[in-house]
This record gives sequence, C-alpha cells and structure tokens, in this order.
Amino acid sequence: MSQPTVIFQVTAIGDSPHALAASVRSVLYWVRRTPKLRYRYLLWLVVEPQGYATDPDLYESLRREGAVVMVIPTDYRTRRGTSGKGRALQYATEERVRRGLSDPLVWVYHQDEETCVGQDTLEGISEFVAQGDRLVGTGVILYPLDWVGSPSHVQELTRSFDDFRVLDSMTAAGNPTSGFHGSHFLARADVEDAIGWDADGYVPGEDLLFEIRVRREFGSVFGLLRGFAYEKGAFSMHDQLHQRRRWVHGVLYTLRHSNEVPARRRAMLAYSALSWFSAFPSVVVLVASAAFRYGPLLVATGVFTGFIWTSMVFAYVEGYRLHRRYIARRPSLLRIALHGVLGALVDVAAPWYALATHPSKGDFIPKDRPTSHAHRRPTVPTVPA
Amino acid sequence: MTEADPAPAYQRAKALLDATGLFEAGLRPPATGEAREGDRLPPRRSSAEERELEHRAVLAELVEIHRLLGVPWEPEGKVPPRPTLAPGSASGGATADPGESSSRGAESPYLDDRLAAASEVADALSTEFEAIQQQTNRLGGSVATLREELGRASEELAFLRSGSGFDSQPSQRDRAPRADAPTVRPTKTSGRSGGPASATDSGPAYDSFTVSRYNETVGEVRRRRRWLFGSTLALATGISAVLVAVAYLAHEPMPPWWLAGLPLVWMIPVPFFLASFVGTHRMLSTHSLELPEAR
Repeated sequence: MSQPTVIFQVTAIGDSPHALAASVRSVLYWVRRTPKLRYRYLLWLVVEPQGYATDPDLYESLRREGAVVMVIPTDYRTRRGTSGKGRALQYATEERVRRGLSDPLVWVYHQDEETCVGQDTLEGISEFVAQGDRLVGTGVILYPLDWVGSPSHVQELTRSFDDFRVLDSMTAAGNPTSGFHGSHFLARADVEDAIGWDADGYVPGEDLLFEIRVRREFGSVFGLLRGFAYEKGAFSMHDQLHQRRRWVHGVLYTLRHSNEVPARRRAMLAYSALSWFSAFPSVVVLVASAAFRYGPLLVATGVFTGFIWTSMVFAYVEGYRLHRRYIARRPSLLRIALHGVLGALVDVAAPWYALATHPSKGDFIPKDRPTSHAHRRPTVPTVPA
Repeated sequence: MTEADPAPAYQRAKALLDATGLFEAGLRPPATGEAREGDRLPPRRSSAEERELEHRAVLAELVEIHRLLGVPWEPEGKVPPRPTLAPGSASGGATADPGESSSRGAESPYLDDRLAAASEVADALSTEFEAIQQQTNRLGGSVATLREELGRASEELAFLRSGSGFDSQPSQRDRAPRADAPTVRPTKTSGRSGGPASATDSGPAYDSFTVSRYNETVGEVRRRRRWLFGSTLALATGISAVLVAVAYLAHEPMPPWWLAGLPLVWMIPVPFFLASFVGTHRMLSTHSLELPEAR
C-alpha cells in the first residue's frame, strides 16, 4: 500500500471570506498537530471570481499559508452546461485529472466555506482511508460555530442528531430515507471524477444527485466517517428559510428533471418529500381541531401522535447534548423551547414556500456574521462537560 | 564638625576624583590668599565649603562604586536625589546644622544618600539577575521543547517507515512525491484537550475540537442509547394512551367524511419517523463511533 493523499477541498462562492479563512486554517492547524496520520494532504480552495474579489488580500494570505487557491475562470463552461456549485465542483474534478490526481490513492474531503475540522475529523479521515474498503464516507456535523441560541440555531441541533438516521440510511442498500451531506464527506478521487458533477443546467441539490449517481454506478459503497465536522447554522430565520428552500428545490429537481434516478429510489425520495410537505397541513389540522370535531378517527391517529411528538422533542434534547461540550452560551430551557418552536415552524413552512417560488442561486446563505466584525474570530467554544 | 579638620576629606575626595577624572570637572583646591606653598594645612573653610567638599567626595565614591560594579556612569546621575525626611525623624539632621543636632555628634548627613544610591544599584543588579534568570528559564523551555519535538519527529519517522499505512520501501510514487503535497507535520499531539475553551480565549475557535472531546460526546450518546430507546417508547405510549382515551371518552359523533379524513394527514410521516427511530438506534448500537486517542 502506497501513501495516499487527501485533498481538503473547500468549494464555495467565496463571499464569506472570514468563515472560509477559519475553515482553511482549521485544516492547517490540525494537520500540524495530529501525529501519525496516514496521508499526505493538499488544501484546495475553489472559489468564484466575485468571491475572490471580496477580499483578495485574505485569499493571498491563505495562499501563502499553504492553500491552493483556484479561482474559476469566468468563461469556464462544463460540457453539459451546469451552473452554481455543481460547476465549481466539476471544475475541481477536471483540475484533478489535469494534475494527475485522479487515482485510487487520492481522496477528496469536501468542505463548505464554514466547515471547520478538528483533530477528530482528521483522525476519522485517516482511519477511513487506511481501511479503504468504502469509496465514499460521511459523518455527523455539529453546528457550534457562532452559536447564540437563536431559533435557526436551536433548529440546527436536531439536524445533528438526525445525522445518525442519515448515516444508517446512507450505509444501507438503497438509502431508504435519503440521507447524505453536501459537506463533510470523503470520496475517492477516481470515483468522484468518474461520476462528475456536470448536469443540464442549474442543479440545486448537486450533492443528492451525486449520491444517487455513485449508488447507481458503484452500488452501496458508502461508509461511516468518524469524527465530527463543525459548521454554523443560519444566522436568521430568513436565511434558514432560504437554505431549506434550496434543499427542497434540490429534491424537486431530482424528482422532476433527472432521468438518472432509479424508480425505487425516486419513490423513496418522493415519500421523504411528502413527509416534509405534510408537516404544514398537520399543523393547520391541529389548529382547526379546536373548531371542528374530527370524531372517532382521532382514536386511530392518537396511537401514533405520541410517538411523533416524543421523537421530535428528543431530537432537540439529544441534539443539544451533542453540542453542549462545544457551545459557550446556554440559553434558558424556556428560551430554547420557544426558539425550537419558531425554528420548527420555519422548517414546516419551507417546502411550501419552495413550491411557491423559483430556485435561486442566491439561496447560499451568508456565513460571515451579519454585523461582520471582519476580524473577529468565530466564537465557538466550549463549556465543561 | 565646624571645628573638624577638613584635610582628610579633601585628600580622599581628590584621590577619588583624580581616579575618575571628575577633579577636572570642578573640584579644585581652594585658592584663597591665605594658602601658601608648604602649608601643612589648607586654609580654614566655611561650613558650606566643607559640606560641598564632602559632598563631592561622596559623589566620587559613588562613581568608583559604579565603576567597580561595571555600571556605566551617567553624568545626569551624578547627584542622586536626596530622600526627603520628615522633620524630627531620626535622620532629620540631614537638613539641620550637624553641630546643633546632638550634643553627642550627628550621624553623617549623607548616609541616606549613600544608602539610596547603594539601594539603587542593588535594585539594578537584582533586575539584571531576574532578567538573566528569565532568559535562562526560557532557554531551558526551548531546549525541552526542542527535545520533545525531536522525540516526536523520531516517532513519526519510525511510524512512516514502519509500514503502518505505507510501504517501508517507498514506491515510485513516494520517491517522486507530488511537488505540491507536503507531508503532515505534527507538532503537538493535541490542542486544548485538557480543558474547555471559552469564547474569550485568544486561540482559534477550532483548537478545542479534539479527539478526546469527540470521544466523550459520542460515548455519552452511545451510553444513553438504551435509556433513550426506553424513554421514547414509554413517553410515546403514555401520550398516545391519553390522547386515545380522551378521543374515546369524548364520544364525538361521526363528522362529514371530508372532515373526518383530515387527521389522516398526521399519519403520512409516521413511517418516516419509525424508520428514523429504528435507523438511529441501529446506527448507535452496531457501530463503534469512538476514535483512538491521539498517540
């Protein structure tokens, strides 16, 4: 076995340069402080020209620190003409091929602009690469960066706990509940480059399409990537709504336009979407039940209502427990409960909002603080166990 | 003192000032008309002149002390400031006529000055010694770090050559590594794993993201899995039982079909929630999530 190389690839528009710099520096910080890793590393930063233009000095300083900064040429076109993040990812795959890095000994770890890594992330990658029996891996993402306990932040707690469901589904044959990530996943370079990210036009859920393609071409080759990635939630409910809208558009695009999805998988995907869409009418019906009487049917539905409510509440509780070693601010229980309800209502409304609006490339939400104290480091921290 | 012979003080001052070169700076033998060649004693001087003379002698002694200690002479420090003493204090005679301060004779009115100057030099020496000690400590720390890093580098080298992940004999790829692919360079085994970070710490936010903290977190989730499983089922059963009982005891009449069917929308996500519940617990029970601690 020869020495593998891991490319830490941050693919982003690049207009949140400070979040992106923290992401890059987290890699540089930990590769220098984690002994006995079983790989060489490269750090690629793939950004759009308008992102680079927001702070060229910062990008140049990252280049000096060891990152390979790639600014996607404005006139770059993929073969099928995809746009958005898919175009940037496709550019990186072609760049790997050009540089002779598209082979089984090279792995690509995908990061969003705010994805910080820790020592555990690097160790997890090392273990995954050393085992080498899975071609793609993903793990649990926490959202402790800049966590202040706002409704959108409280809602993110549930996503981390839900990741265990995602991991189980992803490693199972057929991915029954459609689990995958667009960041914090590791793919063998030759596999990723063979699959590619190109598609017809703008694809809002490029990660979902990639997962479907890999499964179709290589089968169930997904594995568990140990170690967390550390990200940040949307700063506001408005951002949260737009972020969720993009996810829904990704699912709808895959269902409506992609002929690459097997029928069985399409059905599962449709059911997952339907479950999400059903949340809003469920709330409406619940409110309406005060005025209308639903009669004996309540006896039947009541059997499962307790289970759904309990599952939702425990998702918040366990999500918080996952985060509590990493967040400094601890709002009161009442505040968390209130913000949890507000954050959940945004998630409830999001699919219908998505249905009523058109996909937008502007749904990539800002990751630098809105008040951006440009030089303030992300406040992340931790509290005693 | 007014009756004392000033000759010894003068001679001492001259000797010292000659040695330091200060004599030329202003101290001259008195040139009054009363002085004659061969006189054994210089002419008598006033009290002020004697005091001036002795002052210069003390100054010269201080210069000599400075010289012996190797402290560079600074002209502006020629006359150390005289400490201010409270009237009536034990050394208050420094400003009084010595002859009138005590019938048994007064202490040297310049003792305080001497002590102050000596104390100043001692302080300077002490500061220098502390600086030297600090430098020595830092040097010791650097040597220890160097030794530690060399040890780690040796371990890493042994690891890389041992085949724990790579061939001990480098392949063609290893002999010609990618020009832009640096090897991982460890410097420490961990960051702030020993204690919690805080938002006000000066270090980067991510330096608390250690393997040990990760292991604590996932270990806790796995330990709580059975409790979580049982609690979810128990609570769900309890809530559902209450809802069913309320619905049953209400004896609601059957509403129109279009209204009665509305609660079915609540059933849509039930399979998804069940699959999620099973999947989550399957993942937690069948997979070890912990990572080996940093070696």
